Amino acid sequence: MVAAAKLTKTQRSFGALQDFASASRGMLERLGGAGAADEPLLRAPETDAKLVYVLIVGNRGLCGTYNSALLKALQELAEAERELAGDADKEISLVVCGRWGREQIAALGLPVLRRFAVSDVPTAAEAEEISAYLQELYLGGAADRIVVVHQNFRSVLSQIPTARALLPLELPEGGAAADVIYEPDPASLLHTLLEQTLLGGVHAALLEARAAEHAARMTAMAAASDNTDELIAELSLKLNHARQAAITTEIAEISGGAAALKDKR
Amino acid sequence: MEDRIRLRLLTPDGLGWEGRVCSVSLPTPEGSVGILRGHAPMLCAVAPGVLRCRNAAGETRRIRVSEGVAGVEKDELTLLLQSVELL
Repeated sequence: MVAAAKLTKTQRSFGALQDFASASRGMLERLGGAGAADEPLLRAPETDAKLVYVLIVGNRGLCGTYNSALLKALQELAEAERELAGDADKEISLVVCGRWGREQIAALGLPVLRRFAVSDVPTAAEAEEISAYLQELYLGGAADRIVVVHQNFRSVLSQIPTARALLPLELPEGGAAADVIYEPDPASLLHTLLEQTLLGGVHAALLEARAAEHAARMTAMAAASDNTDELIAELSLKLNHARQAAITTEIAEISGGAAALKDKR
Repeated sequence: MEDRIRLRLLTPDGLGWEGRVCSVSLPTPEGSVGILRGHAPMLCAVAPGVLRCRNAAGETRRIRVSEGVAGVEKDELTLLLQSVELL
C-alpha cells in the first residue's frame, strides 16, 4: 500500500520533469550548436581511461531481485568495458546513490568515490547535489566518461537494468533558428542549458529507479502475502488432522479401557 | 493592452506558474529586460531576482526566480528555472 502511494508520487514527479526536459531540449535546438566549440561539457576527452558508474540502488531490501539483478548487470558492464579496453588502462569506480547493500557493493571490488542518500521520492535538490558532484569529477579530470546504471521502470511487474551515458553530453540534432537574439552570448546560455540537461538526466534516472523500486516492492509484498495465505491454509489443515488423530486415539483408549473393566466384572 | 503573452515558468518539480499577461520584466545578469507582445525571438539568461508581470487589468504579480534561461518565441515566454516562489 505504502509502495503503491510512493509509486504514484514518483510517477507524477517524473511527468513534471519530462515537461521541463522537453522545453530545455527545444531551447538547445534553437541554439543549434552556437557556442559549442569551447564547451567543456560537450568535449569528449582524448583518453577513455577513467570510467565512473553512478549506481542507483534501492533504499531497502524486500523487493525481490531488484538490487541483486542490478549488481549483476553492473558487473557484466564493467567486465565488457575491461575486455574492450584490452591492455589499455581502465579505471572503473562507482558513485552510489541509495542506502542498500554496503557489503554487496564492496564485494564487487570497485572503489566507491562517494555515497549519496536519496529519499523515496527524489527531489530536484538531491539531484542537484549529485549532478554538481559529477560535473566536478568530469571537469576536474577525475572521470573521462560517466554512465548511470539503474533499474528502469517498464511496468509494475517488470524492471530492467539500464545504462545511460551522462557525460560528456550530446547536443540534440537541429539547425539554429534564424534571427534569434542571444543575451548575453550563446556560449554561456549553452552552458546553463547543458547544466540543466545534466541535472535533468540525473533527476530522471533517480525517479525511474525509485519508481522501479516501489513497483518491485509492491510485487514482492503481494507475492509474500499470497504465500502466507497458502501457508496458513496448509498449516490449519495439518493442525486439524493432528487434533482429529489425537481425539480418535483418546476415544479408542477410553472405550478399550471400559471394555476391559466390563470383562473383569 | 490585451494579454497577448503566454508566460510559463517551468521547474524540474513541475509548472511553477502559468498565465496570460501583457508585459513582463525579467531579471538578467545585465539588468532587467522588459518584454511586450511582438518581441523578437530571443534566448536569454535569467539572474536570480524578482520577475514582475502585469495583466491587462493592471494587476502586477511578483515572482522570485532562481538562475535559469528564458526563451521568447511568437509571444510565448518560457522560463526554465531551478525554483520559483510566488510573492
